[in-house]
Amino acid sequence: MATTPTVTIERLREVARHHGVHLDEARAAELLPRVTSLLARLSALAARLPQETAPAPGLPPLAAEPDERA
Amino acid sequence: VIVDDPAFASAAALGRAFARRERSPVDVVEALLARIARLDPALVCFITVTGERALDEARVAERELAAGRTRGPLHGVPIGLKDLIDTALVRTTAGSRVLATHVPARDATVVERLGAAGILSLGKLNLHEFAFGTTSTNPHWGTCRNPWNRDRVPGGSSGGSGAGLAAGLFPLALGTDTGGSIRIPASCCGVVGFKPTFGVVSRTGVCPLAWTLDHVGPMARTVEDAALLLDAMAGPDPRDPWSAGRAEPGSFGRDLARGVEGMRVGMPDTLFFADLEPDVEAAVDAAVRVLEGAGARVTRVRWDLLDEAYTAFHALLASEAAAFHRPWLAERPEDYSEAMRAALEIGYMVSAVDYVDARRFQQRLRESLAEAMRGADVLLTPTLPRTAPAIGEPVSREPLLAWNRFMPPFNLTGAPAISVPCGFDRAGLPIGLQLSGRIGEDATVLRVAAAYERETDWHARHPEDA
Repeated sequence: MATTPTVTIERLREVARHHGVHLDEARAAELLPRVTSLLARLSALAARLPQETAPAPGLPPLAAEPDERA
Repeated sequence: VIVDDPAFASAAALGRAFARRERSPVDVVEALLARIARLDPALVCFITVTGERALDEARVAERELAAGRTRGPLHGVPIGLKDLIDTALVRTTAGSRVLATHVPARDATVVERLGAAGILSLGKLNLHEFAFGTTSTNPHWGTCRNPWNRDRVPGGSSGGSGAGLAAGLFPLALGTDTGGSIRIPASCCGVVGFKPTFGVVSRTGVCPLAWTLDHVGPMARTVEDAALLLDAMAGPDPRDPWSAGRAEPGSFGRDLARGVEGMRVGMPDTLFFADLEPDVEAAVDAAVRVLEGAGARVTRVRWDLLDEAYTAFHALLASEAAAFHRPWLAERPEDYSEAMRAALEIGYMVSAVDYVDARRFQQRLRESLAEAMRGADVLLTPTLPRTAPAIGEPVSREPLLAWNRFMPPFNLTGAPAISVPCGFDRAGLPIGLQLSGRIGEDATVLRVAAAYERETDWHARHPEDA
């Protein structure tokens, strides 16, 4: 079941800080609705994905070595 | 062969005329440079014009052709390069302030291949800042304008490529497409834009936007020209691990003349046909009748999962772009536009788990496309739900309302997709038709596009004042 993620201005600033990016309070407040919307949609998407046991689900095969390419 | 007016001659016709010594590459480059000098101050298609270099290369091509040394069907033909594609010793800005003085030491792989084919660069083309947007309204290098109506955007991010082709500034251009950036400007400007299968063209030396979604592709005024240009630049590249084994054998244009008799054209019955502008809907309906008249069988097909495609696309795009830009955004945030900076900052908020789920969804969407294509050889949709917006007009960010919402499914799946002109709205703005195919079946998409083009004359119309 999808859950609505809880995001706060302080959380946005903390995550940005973790990535070395300064996000002041006003900018974080502007971003908040867009981030909340995206995370809610991602949560809904994830809720509809099956739990996969196949190896490396969703990831591409490793590229061939250059000399193996046609 | 119509090459009297080099501004609107096809690349194929120019190449043939050069090979037969009926026209001079130097004369054509001079004519196009004069046209650029006259029109580009208003259109802002170029960030850098490399006129002297183009003339030098044209003189070399002329000498080689005179000596019987032909490098291919586009030998001596000029091109414009989107300015996020590295060119040795020529400034490559990515439409940004961050890279305003960046001069690469080495050509991108695609540029090396164009050189080997004898194709001449006229310069570097305007784009949306770092290709992260759909309008090409660029705060650092000027607002690129649509030649059909200069108050309208040319689309983006390869806006200079689309606008310059429509204005007759060059017969060929390179674009890149992460979420529609080749097909959107092709649709808005009434030209051809082809996003090949993921991996067909190397991205080495191309400033990334999102590694798992980025494609390089040809733009032109005819399908044949796009196919010839793709032939010149496709193929595996040891320096791009994603480019392995995707190129089809032979020429991408090998089937252009075969027509569509008996082919199955599928119309996905969700997402792509909701909330269209009436003129777009009418033009696409008419295109369906044209293909039926040419012998194709048009049917409805079901493609599942499309409503969530934009969400997965947004997560991958924002987080991969945020990772690429992390050092610059940390050290010099003031060098980004406000819009770009905000889009990147959102990327940091996507968790690793969300990212993996978006990648899992990507694989499921590929599977659902393969299922949808069991009943069709190609898919047909509008390229965009509307014609070009006015410059400065706000465009929706809501996934199911975004004006590029028909684009991401083909970036996520990596399937080939082309936009060809299919009409005009009542304001005289071009409308695009999107044709797509199975992964790796680029020649089939080009074949259907060429068949449609032969039955119509939309591609032969040009803006009045261009």
